[in-house]
Amino acid sequence: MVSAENLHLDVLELIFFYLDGNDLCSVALVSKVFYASVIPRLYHKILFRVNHAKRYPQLKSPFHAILARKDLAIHVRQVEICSIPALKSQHHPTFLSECSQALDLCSNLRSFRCTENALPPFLLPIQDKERLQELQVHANLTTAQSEKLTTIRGNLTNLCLDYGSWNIIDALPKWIPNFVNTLTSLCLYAIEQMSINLKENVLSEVLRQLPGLLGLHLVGCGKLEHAAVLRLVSHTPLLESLSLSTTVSIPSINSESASPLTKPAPSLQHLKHLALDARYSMMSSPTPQILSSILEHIQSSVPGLVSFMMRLPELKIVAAKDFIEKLVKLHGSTLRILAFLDCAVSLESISTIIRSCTNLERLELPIPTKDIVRSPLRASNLQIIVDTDTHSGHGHGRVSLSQENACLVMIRAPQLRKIVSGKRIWKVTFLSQALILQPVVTIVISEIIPWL
Amino acid sequence: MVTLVTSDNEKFTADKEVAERSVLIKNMLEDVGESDQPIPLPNVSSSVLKKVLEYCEHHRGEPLPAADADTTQDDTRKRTTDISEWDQKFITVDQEMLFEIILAANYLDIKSLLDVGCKTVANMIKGKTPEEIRKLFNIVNDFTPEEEAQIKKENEWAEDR
Repeated sequence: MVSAENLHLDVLELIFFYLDGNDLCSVALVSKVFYASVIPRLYHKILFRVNHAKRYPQLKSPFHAILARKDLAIHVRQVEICSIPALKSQHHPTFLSECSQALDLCSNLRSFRCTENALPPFLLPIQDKERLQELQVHANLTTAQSEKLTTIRGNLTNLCLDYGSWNIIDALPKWIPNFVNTLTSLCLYAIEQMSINLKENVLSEVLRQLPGLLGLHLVGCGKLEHAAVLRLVSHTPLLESLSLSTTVSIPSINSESASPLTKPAPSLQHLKHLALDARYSMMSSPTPQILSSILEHIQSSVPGLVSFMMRLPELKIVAAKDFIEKLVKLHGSTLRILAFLDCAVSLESISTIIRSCTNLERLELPIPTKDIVRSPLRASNLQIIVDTDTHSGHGHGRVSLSQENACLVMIRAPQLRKIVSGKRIWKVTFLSQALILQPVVTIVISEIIPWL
Repeated sequence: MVTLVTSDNEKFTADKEVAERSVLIKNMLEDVGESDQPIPLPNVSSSVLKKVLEYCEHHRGEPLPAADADTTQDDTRKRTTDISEWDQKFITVDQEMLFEIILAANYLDIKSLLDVGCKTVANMIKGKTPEEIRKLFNIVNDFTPEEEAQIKKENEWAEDR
């Protein structure tokens, strides 16, 4: 008789790879065989978050466990440090030391992320990781630290530098050539040293060496203008996803961007995903024109966008009707994902979108919680709606989406599979079967756009 | 057509295209070359092979996953436990048959079927306590209370909060 316990260990490992969190902890306590099989999955990805940091050191860190049992280290593929425990308002020294020692042992590390301003102690242990492919770090570094970071080799495919200092930016042209054959995505986020602009010529030097780049995300980079970004991408004709910040350098009454877009437009025949971030422009009123001008500028060279995302400075601002009309006119037939962050979308615009974007599968927007039932969401392919307004319940006077309204929407738009609002998710369940099933769209905006 | 012989000595015939969804059988056929020799499958019983062939028949013509299985393993982000409606009905079998299918899919190297089986078991485990999992699969707890406490402490960081 075959039972769960005499399945081969490797089959149990495969099963456990579909579990996470508490389920893994439960599985570990079932029996010795289950425990042995769940270890590779448990230590595959280590995510150290604020809830871990707050309970440290009462709660033992995974790095502590690795130091106690060094054989665990070979299973670690991903490490993500989103929070650092504090001791007397400093980074906890014991944590930094156990974390860097453990990292040193993780020879199979594939992906390392450190989004806190605490990278320096980890610069040494992440050297010489032959399998390292993804690196996302808070890169506010001194010159010496930048030098250390840029001795990292390996086969990086994704590089994301948040809050980079000028030192690291200046070191890029020498560092990047090491990854000419592997790097597919580059992201520079919030390089905001007020006095220093991210120089176009530095970036030009970098991008010239990366003609095969598929993803480029330059968001919140000082005074780097969108016109400059659109010139830079002429070096990377294979781009599939592009994110950029729109800027207005000189307040202008002409409502046009101060620096005109340079002709000819870059050739972006492969571009599928575009994200425009208007948070950094000082003035909100010219934004629709600027967004429209970007769409017009690349109109002839981009065949059809699959996803589009935009972010405005404030929720109060309504995404301009004209802009949305232009967007759906140009890309309506190809768009599968649309996301509006920090901006309102009028009911009229929602119906324009639903009418024109016949292939739309996922719509992310601040859900107008009261009016949503009046929105015509019946569209053949729309499966997922995600609420991007996360402020409800914080005294913004916003009513969260009610169970009743969610049901009404589902009934009126029977093709919908899922509505996500804050921590609440409504899914369509087939009552005849025990499980919630039906393949849903697997592309998630944050997979395309790393800086989100 | 390909002839397959099960552990209990039953013969099955299947289209080459259907049988070759099993990488093991595909490789065997390539090694043997053109031949009418039946292929022995000593690790698969007739009741299980019948189910496996039903699966392969339904999915014939679909693209096979890349041979490079390790990379998909690594990509935890794309891991969902969603199963298509047909597959779900197909895999609604008693526990012993479920495990037999998983073992057969592993042995015959049919990745998509192995995935369906593993996802099904994973879905059965989700949300259960250790004791409930033991009951579900009829497993005896072989830890001492001290060992249990030790493992609980060691893995506490992985709990959702």
